[in-house]
Amino acid sequence: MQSSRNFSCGCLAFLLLSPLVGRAETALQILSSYETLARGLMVGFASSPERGRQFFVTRHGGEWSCSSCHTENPAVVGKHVVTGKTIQPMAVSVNPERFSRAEKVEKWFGRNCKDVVGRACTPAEKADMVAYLLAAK
Amino acid sequence: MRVRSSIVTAAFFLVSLPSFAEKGAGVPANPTYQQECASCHVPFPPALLDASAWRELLNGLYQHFGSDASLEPGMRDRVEKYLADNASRSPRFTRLGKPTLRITETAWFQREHAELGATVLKRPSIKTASNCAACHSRAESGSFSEREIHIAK
Repeated sequence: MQSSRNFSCGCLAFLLLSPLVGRAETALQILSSYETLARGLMVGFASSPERGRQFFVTRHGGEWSCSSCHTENPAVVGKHVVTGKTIQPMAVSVNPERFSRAEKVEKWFGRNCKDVVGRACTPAEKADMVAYLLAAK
Repeated sequence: MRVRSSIVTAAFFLVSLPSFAEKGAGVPANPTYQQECASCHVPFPPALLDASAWRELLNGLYQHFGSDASLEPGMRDRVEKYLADNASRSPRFTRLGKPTLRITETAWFQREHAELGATVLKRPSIKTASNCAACHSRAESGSFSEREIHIAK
């Protein structure tokens, strides 16, 4: 009866872990796609979490930085700078929902880069930010 | 004894009726509206504006009160349908009778919140009158029941 219990434990672990594995893969896949695009424009590009962090906390000629809403600590809850609405943490380590759907990531980069940077973010900038938010704890 | 118990029963019944101030109560939540429009602010109940105001808002999402809130066309149409279907039947004007796209500027909103006085809505914990969730504890689920109000300090 020990073997059937092991089997059940194994099944349970697989069921519990597989959504997480799926998500982790998707987040890394998203990072990897941006890196590939960036390398097409800049040979030898490699994403940098620190560069991503700096981009995130800096103002880019406008009133806001990314951290104006998301705070300088991606592991905590943020707050919309205009509406006051709470914003769930961006760090994947505390919020596994983040970077789990590529089209959602693109949609928010599209809107927020326009508002914060005044233009679309480049693939390199996106790769750096995703790397930062994947590494943040 | 019988009279008193009927009064108590009647009072109990009256108290448990939903508040008539709950605009939008009973309108089912729309998952597309929730997902696309409730990230930066609470999902404002559709009945708080009329259909033409909602349409005007949705036609100008690229400059939505200072932000780019653009939706891809399919999503946008679904949100418009939901809002227009559940919108107020009569236009919502400001106290001076002007049309507005800001729910907080409508005469209805200002009447509902008049008892707060001028300074409460400016508290740092609240920030702005459109930050419903600061006091309406279940606004993010679309609920504005009187019983759920806790004025932020």
